[in-house]
Amino acid sequence: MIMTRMSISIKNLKDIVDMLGTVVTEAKFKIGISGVSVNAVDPAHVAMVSLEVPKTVFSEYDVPADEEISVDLEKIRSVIKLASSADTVIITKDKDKLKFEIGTIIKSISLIDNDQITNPRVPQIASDDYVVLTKADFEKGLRAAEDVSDAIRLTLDKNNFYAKSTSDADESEMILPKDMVKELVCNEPIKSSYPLEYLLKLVKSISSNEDIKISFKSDYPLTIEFNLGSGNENARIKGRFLLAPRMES
Amino acid sequence: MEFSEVTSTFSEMENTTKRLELTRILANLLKKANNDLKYIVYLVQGKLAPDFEGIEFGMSDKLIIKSLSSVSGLSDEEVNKIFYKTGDLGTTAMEISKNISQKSLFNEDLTVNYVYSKLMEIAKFSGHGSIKTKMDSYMDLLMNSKPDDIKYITRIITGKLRLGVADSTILDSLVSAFSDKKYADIIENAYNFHPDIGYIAELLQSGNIDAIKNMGPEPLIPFKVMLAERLKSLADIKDKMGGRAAYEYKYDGLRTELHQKGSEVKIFSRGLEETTQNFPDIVKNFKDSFHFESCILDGESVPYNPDTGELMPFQMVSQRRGRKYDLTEKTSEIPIVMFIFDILYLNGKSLINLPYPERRKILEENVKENEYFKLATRIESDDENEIMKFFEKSIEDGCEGIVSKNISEDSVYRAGARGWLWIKFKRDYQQEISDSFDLVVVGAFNGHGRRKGTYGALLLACYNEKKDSFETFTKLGSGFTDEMLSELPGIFKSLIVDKKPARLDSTMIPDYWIYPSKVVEVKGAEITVSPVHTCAYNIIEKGSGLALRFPRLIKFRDDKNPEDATTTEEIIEMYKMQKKTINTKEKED
Repeated sequence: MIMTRMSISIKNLKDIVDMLGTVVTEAKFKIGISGVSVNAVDPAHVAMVSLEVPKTVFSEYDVPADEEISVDLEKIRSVIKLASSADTVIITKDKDKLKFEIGTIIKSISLIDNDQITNPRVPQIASDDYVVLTKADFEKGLRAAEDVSDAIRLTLDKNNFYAKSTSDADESEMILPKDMVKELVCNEPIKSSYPLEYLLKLVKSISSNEDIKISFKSDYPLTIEFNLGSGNENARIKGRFLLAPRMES
Repeated sequence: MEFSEVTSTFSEMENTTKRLELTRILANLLKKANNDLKYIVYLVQGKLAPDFEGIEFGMSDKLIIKSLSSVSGLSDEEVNKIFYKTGDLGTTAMEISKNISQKSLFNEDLTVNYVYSKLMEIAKFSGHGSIKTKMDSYMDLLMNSKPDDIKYITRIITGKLRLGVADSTILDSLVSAFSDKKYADIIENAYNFHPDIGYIAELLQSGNIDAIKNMGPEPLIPFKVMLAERLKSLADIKDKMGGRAAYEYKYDGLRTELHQKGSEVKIFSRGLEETTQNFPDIVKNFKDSFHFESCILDGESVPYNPDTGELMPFQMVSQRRGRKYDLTEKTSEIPIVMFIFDILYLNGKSLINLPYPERRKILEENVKENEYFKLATRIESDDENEIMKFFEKSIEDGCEGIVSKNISEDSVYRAGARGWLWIKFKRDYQQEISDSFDLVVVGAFNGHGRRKGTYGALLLACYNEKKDSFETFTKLGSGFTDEMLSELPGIFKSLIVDKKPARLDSTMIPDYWIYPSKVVEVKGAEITVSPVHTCAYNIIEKGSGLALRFPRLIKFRDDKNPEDATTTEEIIEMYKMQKKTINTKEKED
């Protein structure tokens, strides 16, 4: 019998686990012929992470048939800790175990019953208005708001992108004019608030020089598209983050 | 079913205190419950599963408040203010949920099933990162509930649902919804053997009355133990039993159900709580000693000093107050012994409908006594004197009294019932004697276990001035430091004699006779009538002497001579005084 077997760099594996870890502790991966995908929603149903890992990300990818694999992310972390970021790990599925080989070390972890993890519904969300900027720039605005409030209000108009937080006592605001971002498309002004905690966790798991695309509408979920991992453009992990809005009273 | 139906039933129930009314309202809901029946009967009690499964939410008020502030944009202080005003987190959650600012990515239909699964999620997570997950799951419920729903959901999580519905009310509602009053007793009996209200509910709903009728004990599922009635005098008990009956020691410990099936052993308390982890020694020893296919035993676990044969009260073993008995720490010092007095199930067969003497016979044939498992001491008798002596011996041995057990053909095992098949006779009062006693060492017993190689206990005597003799009064095994213990044989080496010393009255025969010379000061709990000690023999009661219960060493009195020891006369006086206090106490009660 041919077993599912794939090799991936520790750096890529770590990026995947860290990103999923921003919303869940356990995840169900769909292993398909053309790559791996995963949707994870946090238990409060406020944030969702979706990742597409094309098979080009793997240095070896033998997947005889589609299957699902559910794991405890903490267990993968303990494997990652054994390696250095330049290492490559060979992952083999053997019955209810997932075997990791890094150089001379072999470690097997038990899988979680697939029924234990629900398949989250993926909400249909779309907006024509968006801004593309570096993760580092966005993070600056979030950090400024961190000690002000637990929510941040994002505003987009034809010329600027604003990220603002207010409390009874304090206020913070970041204003990025159109010429300081990579791209800005806005048909009419929009504004919406989001819980800050999730955004801070998310940006931590994205490299600083990555571009991210933020799209939203007024009082509507936010979408952030980003890339993870190292490699050329067609060998990158594509990520999508959804976040439910916080209504302003 | 939509959870809103549960909510409206709950609010209807809140508006009545009449049990019949509660039963009717609940029965209406149960009739409509279909697949959600099991969930609903648990939720009505503010639970997710029967108690013995040990499922708890583990979510503090503080976490609820934090979650409420998270979804509302209010600060913790602002939420707290509402909490102070309402005095109830359920109402607080209800108020706040009217103004939730945080939205969810998708709206869920708030079905009973959904609420139950989310609550299970909250309970399931423990350990690292669980606080966040618990809060998130609760927040999801908050975002998807109507204000009235979240009021009850929050009360369930915080253990404050308090609809005034006990198991018996739910059973009545189930009977009214799915069955017939004529089966009420059978249903209750089934529930006593399988106290999982969800399980019983589903059987009734499916109309499976045969399963209910045939319900008996099941290994690994706790049952409600059989209880004893109580009478004031042995004569009354003898009358009630109609003559000859069995009498067993009533051990003063923790009622213990031991269940075994294959390689699995579980222990449950009388409150149906699983306490397996508190008795690692018993579990291990059981697995080592017995190899049944399956069995269920009923008994009492008691700290037992193998050297003195003394049974200790639990509070003497567990020094930490306000905490649950921490048995694991003490197991090495004083072993916990399970005194087994009944067997309900053996190798796939229920024994509950056999008469008690047959069950006892099966117990004796199958359970060989050892260090951790002993059978309850018992006699069969219709002689009141003999029974009285047996009772006194039980007290002296550290028991609470005795239980009389019916030995007729009808003496079945009745789960959860307090009936006249078993009748207890106990002495309620026990006190610490403030005075200490100076007693003479007249014998020693070999130690076992940790005390191997030294003495396990000393035989102590008081001094009878009139007869100029020494009379045994107690067996001392407590209060020694490890150092003292190891020195004991050395201290008494030169005093060992090969036969009972002159001037010593003793019916007990120790491993070593010790010439009366050394005096020790001891304290004890109580002076009791004893058939084995010779102190004041035949004076208080014919054929009996007096003994000191729970003695412990204070110090060696090398300054005293044996003839300076506490005298028999003094002990008789103390016994009378003590009796007086007990009588006064009983009157006050």
